[in-house]
Amino acid sequence: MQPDRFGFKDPLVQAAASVLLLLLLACGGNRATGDRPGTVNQILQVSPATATVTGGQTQQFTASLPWGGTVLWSVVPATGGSINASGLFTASAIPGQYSIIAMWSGDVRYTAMATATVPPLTPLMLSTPDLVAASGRQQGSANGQIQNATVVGEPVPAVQAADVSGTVQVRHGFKPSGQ
Amino acid sequence: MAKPHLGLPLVAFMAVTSIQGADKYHSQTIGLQMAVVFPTSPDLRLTAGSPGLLLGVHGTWIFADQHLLRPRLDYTHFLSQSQTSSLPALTQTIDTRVSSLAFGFDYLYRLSGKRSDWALGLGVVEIRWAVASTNRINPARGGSVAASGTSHWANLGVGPVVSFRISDHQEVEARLITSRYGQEKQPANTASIGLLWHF
Repeated sequence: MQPDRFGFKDPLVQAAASVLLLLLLACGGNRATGDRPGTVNQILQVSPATATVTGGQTQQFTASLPWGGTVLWSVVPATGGSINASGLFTASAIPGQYSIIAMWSGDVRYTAMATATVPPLTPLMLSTPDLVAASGRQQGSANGQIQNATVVGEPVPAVQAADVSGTVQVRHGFKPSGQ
Repeated sequence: MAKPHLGLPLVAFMAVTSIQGADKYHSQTIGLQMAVVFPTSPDLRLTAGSPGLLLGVHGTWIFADQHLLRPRLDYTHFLSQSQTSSLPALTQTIDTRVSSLAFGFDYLYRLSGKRSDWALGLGVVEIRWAVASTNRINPARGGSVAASGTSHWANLGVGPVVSFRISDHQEVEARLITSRYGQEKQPANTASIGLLWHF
């Protein structure tokens, strides 16, 4: 009879060998996790997913993920505006589509993305009744602004312009000498 | 995150068993170990990439003829890994560097008596995983953004240990450790082969 050189008949050794076998078999599955590249919005999510924000206006973005915590916000490209630590986005005056990106501060690999669209400014309307009186001298320029318009009651042409928020500004016109 | 603490019970157990085994040959030793560690679970393989290097210290207490307890502290460092994914809306690159600090003990059973060269056992360790990451996003519509940070998780690891004593002061061991890491508790299994020096 062969001697049990390694003690394999010992119950303790048999138990240890069983544990070894079980652990060898339990090598772990491969499931999709949100910390890999290409898993944007899989775990961390941003709402709204899309938003249209006029230049100068703001939009609140909110991040949600199962574990709570804070996120790092970015606007890409940065010319699209700014976003603070709370997710409040302020659009710049430059029209375009911009990415609002959130990364979880607990593990920056968890990423979410939304889209903010900044539309072009709407050209001024010539028919604003309290602003413009047709004088035959007003013209629309190539960029949509009105030139040489006159304001009711003003003896000379007024100058007008629109700021980034679309507010029309009217100033007294320059009075040429001799008039 | 509440984590089990192995330190106090382990120290108490070692104190008792070292007194009991004080008259046995080489009943207590301390030493160093070095090993090559292979990430074996898919997620850890993606994040850690290539094999890592383990360095550590250990003690060995023989508390019965064939029974050993080996408390140990291991630090493992994997080389950095980079992964890139291109989607229609963006290209994302994540660079990671994984390391771990493990404290625990191995129970070993000498297979054919006190003087046996072969031993089989079970390792139980508390592992503090660290993943240093840099996440770079390049949206298709232009621009880029990057952020860096290091995340930590502590989880229990267990696994079998096989060792072979090649001299009174040197021992070769192979270990499998199964653990979890990451926010989603992904499997983090490793296999290692190393050399121990006893003093």
